[in-house]
Formats: sequence, C-alpha cells, structure tokens
Amino acid sequence: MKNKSKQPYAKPKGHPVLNLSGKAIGELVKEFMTKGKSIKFRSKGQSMHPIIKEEDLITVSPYIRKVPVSGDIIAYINPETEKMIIHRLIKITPDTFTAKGDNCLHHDSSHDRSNILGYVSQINQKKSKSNALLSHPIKKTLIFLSSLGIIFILNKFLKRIQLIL
Amino acid sequence: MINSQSCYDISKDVITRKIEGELVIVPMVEGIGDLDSQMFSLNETGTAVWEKLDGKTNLENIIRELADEYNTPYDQIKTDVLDIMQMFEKMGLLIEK
Repeated sequence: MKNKSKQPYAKPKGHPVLNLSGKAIGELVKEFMTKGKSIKFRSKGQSMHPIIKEEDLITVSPYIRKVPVSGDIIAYINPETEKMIIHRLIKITPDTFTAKGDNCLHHDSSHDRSNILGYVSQINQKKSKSNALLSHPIKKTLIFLSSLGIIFILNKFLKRIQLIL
Repeated sequence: MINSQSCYDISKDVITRKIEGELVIVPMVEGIGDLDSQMFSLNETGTAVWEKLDGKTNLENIIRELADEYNTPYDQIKTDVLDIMQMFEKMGLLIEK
C-alpha cells in the first residue's frame, strides 16, 4: 500500500546545532538531569561574573548524592519565562528556594524547589579549569559579598579600569 | 560496517529531545553530554530512520517501510539510509543486535 507520505522525500541528514535558545538548553538540561546524567555547555551572560564568565564551559550535574545547600551554584527553570538560569542559591526551605547572581544587585524571585534542575559541578574557564564545589566558608563569604552588592561594584570598577588602560 | 540484514538499536549513551520540531541528539562521553561540540539534529527523514531503530527490525525492513512511506524507489532509500547509518556508527550511536 503506497501514498502514506507526510512530506516529499529528502535525503536523511544530520547537521550541527549551532545556536540553541535559553529555553531549549533548559529542556536539554532537564532531560539529562531526569536521567541522572551531567551535561556541559557554554555559559551566556555576566550575572555570575567573575566566578563564571561569558563563554566558560560549565558542567551541570543532578543532585543525586547531595542535597541543595546555600552557596551552591544551581541551574533552575524560571517558571514565568521557562528559561534556565544559573545563579547562586542563597536561601532554601523544604518547599521553596531563592537564588541570586553574584554580579546582580537584587536576588531573583522565590520559586518552588521542583524548579531546581541541578548544580554547577565544574567550570572550565578559557585558561584554567576550576571545581565549582567550593568550601562552605567561601560560599558563605560570596553570598555575603554579593548581598551587599560588593561583587557588582567591584566588577563595574574593574571594567572602568580596563577601559582606562 | 553496516549490514542491511542486521538489527540496530540506539546506544544508551545518547540523549535525544525534540526541540522546536527537530530531533536534537546529544551523545555522551564518559557519562557527560557536551552541547559545545557533539550535539546535532536530524531532518525529517533522518528522524524517521532514527525512530525506527528499535533493535528488533532489521535494516532491510526499515528501508522497505521508508520506501513505502515516502513513495520513493527502494534503491535510492537504501543508499541514503546506509549513508546515515554509517555516520551514526562512526559516532558510536548504534548497538548491533
């Protein structure tokens, strides 16, 4: 029996995916986390500068043997925009969490914990490789500095200096 | 070497997801997917081949099914399917049953 075709025949082909939207990357990350696998991709944006810089290769892993704690850099889906965000976890309760970009003046809205996808387990910067699993006191210090806007101000200051030089 | 009499299944080290109408395939290396260098997507016919790889149907039957579905000569489909299967095999995406 013939004529069941949907579209005219074209040679089956694969092609590289060059640009994915933030939402699409979020969907893929979610798929990997659901299957208990890690995934790495290039970061976009400056909100976690200087820990994560634009184009750094970051690895996101699922919470399997550990639980989310304040100071972790997490990947989560913002339920309002459906986009994935990589920010530092600053508060977590049994039901909700709040995150903040180190280089942002304000924290993000609180969301249901089910929106957390995983945590950043490794950051490959252009020149070096760093483990994102910092010690607890360092995480606390980063949250403190970020909450005062000091990281934001320092970044602005350093950018000015770079422009002058 | 791809054999049209064999059955092929998709490797477990691959994660796929339909995104914006296209099947996106991310192979894993040492348990980690890499969107920076290994991700690719398939066109509609490539997706049709991929979705028929169930480890039970031999390639010969898959080619016949596609020739029927797309109303296209068997020989043409066979050449094209063997081409893309070789690409899948090179990338380590297949398990021969």
